[in-house]
Amino acid sequence: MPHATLPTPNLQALILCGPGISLNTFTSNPSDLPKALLPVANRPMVWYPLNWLYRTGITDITLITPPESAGPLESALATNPALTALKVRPEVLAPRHLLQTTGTGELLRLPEVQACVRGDFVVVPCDFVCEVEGTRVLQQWMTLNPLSSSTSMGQKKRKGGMAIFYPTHGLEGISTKKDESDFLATVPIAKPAVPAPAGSLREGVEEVVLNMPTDTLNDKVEEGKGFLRLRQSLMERHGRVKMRMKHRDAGVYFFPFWVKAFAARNEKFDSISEDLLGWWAKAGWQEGLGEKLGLREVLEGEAKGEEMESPEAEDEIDVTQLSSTKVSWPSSSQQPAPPFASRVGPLAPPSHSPLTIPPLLAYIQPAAESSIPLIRRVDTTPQLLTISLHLAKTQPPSLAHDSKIHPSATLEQQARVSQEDCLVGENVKLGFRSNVKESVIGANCEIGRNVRLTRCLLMEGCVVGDGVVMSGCVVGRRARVEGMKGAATEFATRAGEKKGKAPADDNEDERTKLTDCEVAPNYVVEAGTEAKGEKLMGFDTEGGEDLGMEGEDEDAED
Amino acid sequence: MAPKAKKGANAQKSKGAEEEREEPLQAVVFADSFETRFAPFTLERPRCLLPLANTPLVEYTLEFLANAGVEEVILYCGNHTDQVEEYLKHSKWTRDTAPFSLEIIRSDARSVGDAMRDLDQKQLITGDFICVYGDVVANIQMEAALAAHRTRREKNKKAIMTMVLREAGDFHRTKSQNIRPVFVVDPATERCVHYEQMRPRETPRLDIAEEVLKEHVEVEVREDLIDCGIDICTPEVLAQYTDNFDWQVPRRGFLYGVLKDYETNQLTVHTHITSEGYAARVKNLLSYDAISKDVVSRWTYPLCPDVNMLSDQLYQLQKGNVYQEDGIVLARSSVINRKSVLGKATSVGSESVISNSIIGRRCVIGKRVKIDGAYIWDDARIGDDANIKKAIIANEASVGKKCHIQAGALISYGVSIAEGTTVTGSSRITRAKRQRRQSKDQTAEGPTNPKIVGEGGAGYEMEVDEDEDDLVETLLSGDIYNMRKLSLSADSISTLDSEDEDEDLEDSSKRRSSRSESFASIGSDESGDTRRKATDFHHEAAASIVDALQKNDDVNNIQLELQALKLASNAEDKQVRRAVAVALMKRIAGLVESGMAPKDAVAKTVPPNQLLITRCVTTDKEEYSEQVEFLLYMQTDLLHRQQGDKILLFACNTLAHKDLVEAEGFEQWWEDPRSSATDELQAVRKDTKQLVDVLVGDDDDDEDEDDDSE
Repeated sequence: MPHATLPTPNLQALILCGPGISLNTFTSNPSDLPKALLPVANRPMVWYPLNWLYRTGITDITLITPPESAGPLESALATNPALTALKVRPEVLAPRHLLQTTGTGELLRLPEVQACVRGDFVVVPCDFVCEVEGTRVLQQWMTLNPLSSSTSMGQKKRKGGMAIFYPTHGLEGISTKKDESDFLATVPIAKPAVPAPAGSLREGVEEVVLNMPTDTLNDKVEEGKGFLRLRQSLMERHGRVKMRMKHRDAGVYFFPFWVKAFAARNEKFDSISEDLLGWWAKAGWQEGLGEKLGLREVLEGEAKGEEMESPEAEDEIDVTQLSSTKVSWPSSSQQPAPPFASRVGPLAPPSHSPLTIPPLLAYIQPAAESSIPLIRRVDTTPQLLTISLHLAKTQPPSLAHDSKIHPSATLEQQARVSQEDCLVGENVKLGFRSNVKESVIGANCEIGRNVRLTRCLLMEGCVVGDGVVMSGCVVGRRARVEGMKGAATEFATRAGEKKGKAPADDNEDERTKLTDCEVAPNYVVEAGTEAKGEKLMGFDTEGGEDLGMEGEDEDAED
Repeated sequence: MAPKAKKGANAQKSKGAEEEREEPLQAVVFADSFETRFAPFTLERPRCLLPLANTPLVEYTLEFLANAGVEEVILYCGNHTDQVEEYLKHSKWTRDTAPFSLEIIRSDARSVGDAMRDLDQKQLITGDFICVYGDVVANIQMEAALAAHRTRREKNKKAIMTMVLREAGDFHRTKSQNIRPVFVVDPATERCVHYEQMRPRETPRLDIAEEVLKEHVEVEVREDLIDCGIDICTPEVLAQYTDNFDWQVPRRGFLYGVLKDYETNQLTVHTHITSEGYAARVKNLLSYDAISKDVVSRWTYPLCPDVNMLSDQLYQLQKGNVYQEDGIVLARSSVINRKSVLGKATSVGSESVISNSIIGRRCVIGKRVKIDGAYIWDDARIGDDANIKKAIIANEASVGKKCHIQAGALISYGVSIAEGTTVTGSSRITRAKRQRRQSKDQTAEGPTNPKIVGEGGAGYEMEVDEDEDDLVETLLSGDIYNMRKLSLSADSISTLDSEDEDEDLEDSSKRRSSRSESFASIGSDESGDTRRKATDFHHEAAASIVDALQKNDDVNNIQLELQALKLASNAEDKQVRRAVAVALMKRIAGLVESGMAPKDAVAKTVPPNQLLITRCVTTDKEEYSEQVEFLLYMQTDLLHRQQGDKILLFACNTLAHKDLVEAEGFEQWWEDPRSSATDELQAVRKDTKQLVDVLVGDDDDDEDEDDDSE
C-alpha cells in the first residue's frame, strides 16, 4: 500500500541507528536495547522512519548500526509485531569500525557505507517521527532539481540536496524551553512562473546558506566578542537572508549521488549536519570555497561514473527547456552583472569557468500557532515522553494504531483509562480502581490496584505496584515500581468493603510517589520512594553514582 | 481641513483618513539634501528644482505626498531658498486647489538633524508625520504603511518610526555601488533590529549582536531594499533628535543611535516593506540617470511626462516611449529613437539621430548631430555634427560644431564649448564659482579655461576637491570598464575623504571648505568607517561629559573617563578637544535655557572643570593652533544655542582669565578665516570683539578690562 503518487523514486535510504546519548537512562546497554528500539507510543523508534520511507515509496533501506547493536536490531526486525507488519525488509549493515561515538560524517566515509551507496540516497536518523508525507518533500526535491544531469545553458547542472528543518518553538505540549535548536540562514529560491498548487510544500522550500548548531553559533559569537560576523560576500550574493534561531535540523537529507564522493574526499567532516551541510551551504556563496572542498573534481570528474548513477535517465533532455511556462528572463542570481548593477569587484575574471555549486535546499516547516503536522527528532527523554503522548492523543492517520486499548488488555473492575489520550498495549493488566490519564503503557505491563498514572510512559513489561502514584515519568523496560504492600492489601480489603478513600489518605505519605522521573530498565524502585525529577538507575550502569541525585539533563552531545 | 482635493482619489483618501483621526497628516520635506552630489549644477540651482524628465524634482515629491493623503506640508529649504520659494509661489501647490497647505521654512540647518531639532523647537508638528527628501520619486501606496504604523503605535508607544522600504531584487539600476544599506528585520514584528551601511572592500563583515540572535526567533538580513528615506515619524522622533544633538542624518545618526540605545530607551523602529510600486531617490547622478530611464519607461506611472504634472506641459506619448510636446520642429531626415523626451519648441536639424535622451524646451539641435543617452536641459544649443554620449548639458549651455562630448561629462549652466572641442568623460564644466566669504548661495563667474572649453568658449573645470563624494557614484558612466577602473581608485579616494572628516578645521588652505560644507560631510550618509568611528567617539564622549557635568561629578573622574574612552576608541587629541568644547557649551547652554544668566552659567561650568581644558589644550608652548581649534569648536557649537553670542563672550572671558587660552590664541582665532566664514559665525562672535581687542591690545591687563567690556 505505498501511497506514493510518484513513480518509485529510485532512491536508497540509509537509516542511521546511532547511540541515544541523551536517552542514556534507557540505552546504557546498546547490545540489549539500542536507541532504535526504544518504544515511542508502543512501537520501536525505528518503525517511524521505516514507515515514513515506505510510504514515500522507498523500499531499498539499509539500517546502519554499530556492530554490538546489530543483533538486537535484527531480531527485533524479525519478531517485533510492529516491525514485521511493515512490508519492507530493511538490511542491517554493521560496519566493523563503526563505534557508538563515530560522527555521522565519518560514518559516510566508512568503506562499507561507501560500497553500499549506489545512487541518489536519503539519510534518515532512527529517531525521526514525521507526520508530513515523505512524498511531498520528495516531490519538491525532484521538481527543483534537473531530472538527469542535463546540459542547459551550456553548463552541466547537478542535482542539489534537500534537508528538512522543523520549528522547535510554539508547539503546545511538545515544545520545551530546552529543545535543542540549530542556527539556520536561508535565502528564498526563485519563484516559479506558475504558482505552486495549494498544499504544496513549495512555499517552505528555501536555499540554505549557513547552518550550524546553536552551540557552534555561541562559540562564534564569543569569538566575535558578542557579535556574529557575517561575511559581506553573503550579502553581496543574496539580498535577502533569513536567519532562524529556533528551528532544528531533522537529520533527513535527500542527497544526490555525488555527495558520496564529496563526503569521502573531506576527511574533516565529522557530522553530516554541521560539517557536510555547513560547508556545502557556504560553498554556494563563498568564493573559492568550493574548490577548496574539492567540489570541482567531485562535480566535474564524475562524468564517467554517470552511467552508474542513473542508468535509465540517460536521454539528455532538459525538461525545463520543453516547458512552456518557463520564465523568459534568466534567473537573477547567475546573471552576468549588467553595467550599472555590477556586483563583481575589480578582480581578474577567473581563468576557468566558475564553479556552480548545486543548491542545498531545505524544507523549512513554518511555525504556526495552529497545529501543524509533527516533525520531530526523539532524542531526549522529555521528547520521548511528549511525542509518545502526543501520538497517543492525536493518532495521525499515517501513524495510527488499530486500537487505542489493545483488545488483549485486561481491565479490572473500576479501572479507568481515559480513552482519548491513552494508549494501552497488548496483554496489559490494569488493577482494580487504577486510573490512567494521558499515558502510554507498553505491552505486558502489570499495573496494580489503585494506581494513578498521569502523563506517564511505561515501556514493555513494567510492573507497577499497588497504590503507586506517578506523573510525568518514563519507566524503562521490565522495571518494577513497588507499591506499599501492606497498605495496598489493607486498602484492597477495605476497598472490598466499599469504605471509600479514607485509608488512602492515611497512607498518603507512605505511598510510592514519582514525579517527572526516569526509571532505568530492570531497575526496582523500592516501596515508599518519593522522588521528583530524578533519574533512577542501577549502580552498574553509567552515571550510577548519580543515583537519586539530580538528573543529568544536559548530557554532552557529540 | 483639507482644501477641496483636486483629484477624486485624493478626496477619497483624505476622507477616509479623516475618519480615523482628528489631526491632519503632516509631512516634512527636506528640499536640501545637505550634500553636494549634483555639483556643479547645484551651485546655481537647488537640487529639488533640477529637471528630471523635464519636470522639476520637487514636483514628483509633492505629487507623491498628495497621493499619500497628506494635508500639511512643511518644506525645509537650505540653499537657494529664494529660487524654491519663487518656484512654488507660481506652482499649483500654493493655489486654492492644492491638496495640502504648504509652508516653506527658511532654515540655515546644515543637516537633517539640525532641521529636525529646529522643527521640534518651532513646534509645528502636532501628530505623526511623513518625512521625505525633496528628491523622492515614488508612487507606492502609503495607506497600508500608515495604517500599520498607527496600529503599532496604539499598541506600543515606543514604536517611534516606520521606514517605508521598497523590496527590489538583487539587482536594480538605482542600486548604489558603494553603499549598501543592510537592514536586519524581525519579520514577526517588522522591527528593525540592526542597521549597517556596508561598503564593498571596506567593511568585510556584518556584525550582528548576540542579543539579536538570542531575542528573536527569526530575523531577516535584507540587502535588497531600496531605502529612499520615506519615514513615518512620531513627534517622539523630534524629541530624540533634540536630546542627541550630534545626530545629523536619519540613518547613520538617528537610526543607528536609536538602535544602539534600545537597552535604555526601549524605542523601536519598524519597517514597512512593500513589493509594489516604485520608489527611488535621486541621490546622485547615477540614480538620476536610472530614474530618468524608469520615468520614461513608465515604471513610475502616474508620474510620467505624458501626465503633464506641470500645468503648462503638453506631452504626448508616441510609439516606443517617445514623448513630444507641441511645436517641435523635426527635420525630415532626423530620427528620434525609442525612449526619448522632447520639450516644446525644440528643433532638430536634418540627419540628426536622437536616442534614449531627454531634451528640454527651446533647444536647438543642429544637423547630423548624434545624441545617445544624454540629458539636455532647456535652451541648450547643440552645433552641427556634434556627437554627444551619456552626458548632462544644463540650461543655456551651448555646444559648438563638431564637438565630441564623451559619456559622463557634466556641462553646467551657460557654459559654451567652442567648435571642435572634445570634452572627456570626467569633466565637470561650469562658469559659476562658489563665493566662500559670502553667503553660500551667491556665486560669481569663474575664470574661463580655454584648454577645457576651447578657444572662445566659456567655463572652467570644477575642482574635484570641492566635491566630497566618491567619484564613482558621481560620475555618470555607463561603461562597465570605466566603472571598474574607477572603483579601483575609489579606495584611495575614500580614504582621503574619511581622513579629512575632522581635519576640516586643521587647515590646509587648498582643501579647505567652509564649515557648513564640512558639517554636511559628517552628516552625509557616505561617511566612511574611520569617519563613523570618529563620530561615534564624539557622540559618546560628549554625551558622557555632559552627563557627568550634570551630576556635578568630580572633574578628575570625568577626565579619567574621557581618557579611557579616548584610548578605547583610539581617538585623536583633536577629537577630544572637540568633545570637551561641545560638551561644555552644551552644559552651559542647558543652564542658560533653564533660566540662568549666561555669566553665571559659565562661571558655574568652566572654572570647576578647567582641568578638562588644560588637559587637551596646551598653553606652554609657543604653539596656539590647539587653542584656536578649541575656540573654533566652541564658536561653531554655539551657533544655534540660545544666547550663543553671550555665552561665547563669557566663556572667552573666563578662558582668558584662567589663562587657559592665551592672548595670541585669541588673536589667531580672530584672524582665522574659519571663524568668520559665514554670517552666522560672525554674528556669534560679534560680542566678543571687544574682549579680543582688549586682550590683543594689552594682554597683561586683561583681567581688569574684561568685566567692562561687556
